[in-house]
Amino acid sequence: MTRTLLFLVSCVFTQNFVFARLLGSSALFDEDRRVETALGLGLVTAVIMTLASVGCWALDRYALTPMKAEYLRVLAYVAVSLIAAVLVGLCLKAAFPKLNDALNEAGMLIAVNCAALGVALLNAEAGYGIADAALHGLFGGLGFMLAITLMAGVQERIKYSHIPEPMKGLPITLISASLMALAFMGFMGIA
Amino acid sequence: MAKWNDSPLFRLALAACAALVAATNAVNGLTLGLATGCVLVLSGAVAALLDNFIADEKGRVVLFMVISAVFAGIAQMIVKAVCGGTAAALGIYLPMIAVNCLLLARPADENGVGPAVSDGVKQALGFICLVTLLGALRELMDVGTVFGAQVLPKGLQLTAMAALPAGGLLLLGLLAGLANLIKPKRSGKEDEAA
Repeated sequence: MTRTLLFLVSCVFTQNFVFARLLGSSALFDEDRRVETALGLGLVTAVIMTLASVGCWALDRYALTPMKAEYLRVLAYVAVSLIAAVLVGLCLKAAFPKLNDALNEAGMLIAVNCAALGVALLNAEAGYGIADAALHGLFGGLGFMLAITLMAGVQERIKYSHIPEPMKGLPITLISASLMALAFMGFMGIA
Repeated sequence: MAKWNDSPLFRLALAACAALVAATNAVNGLTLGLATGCVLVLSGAVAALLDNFIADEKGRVVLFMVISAVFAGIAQMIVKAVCGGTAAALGIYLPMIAVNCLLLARPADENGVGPAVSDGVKQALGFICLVTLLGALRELMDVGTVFGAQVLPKGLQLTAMAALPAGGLLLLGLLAGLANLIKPKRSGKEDEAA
């Protein structure tokens, strides 16, 4: 139990996918995203990451390792994370069409796949079992949700503040993300 | 909403952002840049051949991802074989080239392999320069060396933050701001690296 909690804190804060590992960081740069959309997108990403984690683990265990085809890992993982994203997208289309549109934007799609591929590769590197892999996907996804939601809030504030002309847009977003990353590092002592 | 393909500078900065964790010194930056560049050019060429069959943007992204995954896998093996130490230092960020947004969020206006390759080479060069510069600056600020050669007096550490993701983001943000400052708006199109 304690171990799971510590794992949660580590995935969400100290090893946050967006701020500490910069996986899927391209999701931060949509200046028009609203906090509510960000929450929804984050949840969807968590589901996709969990599915991809489990899928890649199973593929690794039952296909790639027995066949000694570890060199196909990158390709196989990309395929699995794409399939996970497409499947979840299909479900979303029926239930929440608006969220599906936000997900299908090129930038977001790349970010989601980045995070899903990243978590699968990290699982393989650490040699996690299926339970740990699934938890890593879920907790990492929650961290992703927290990150893009907070950044959406920051973007809303930036819109109403006076930014020097050359720093507008991308530069100020990067610097805000940097400060956010520093803040997240403050949790380093816990886990 | 599609501000993805608006400016090459924007895409370049995003791609570099994903490389920040690994590019903490000049050698890592250069290696990652070279690997990404090769994957970019090769997968761009292959994708250009198949482009006529795919119409919508989502399909393009999916197709690109699969093609670049193939080349990223090959690049990973080559880097591992040539310089194993650097490959280990780059960790998962080497295979992550497969989902680099420089590769994926490309404008859909190329027709034919020739323009695609020349466009890919241009972007690749920009990206290599940018990540190597970032890596060198961070190495300089963190340990006072560039490409392993001592530049600052030994034992002088300007800031340890430079080697952290937060420091990398800050540096990239400042560089992007500097690029905006040097190049005043020219009908919205900038193609300078940094």
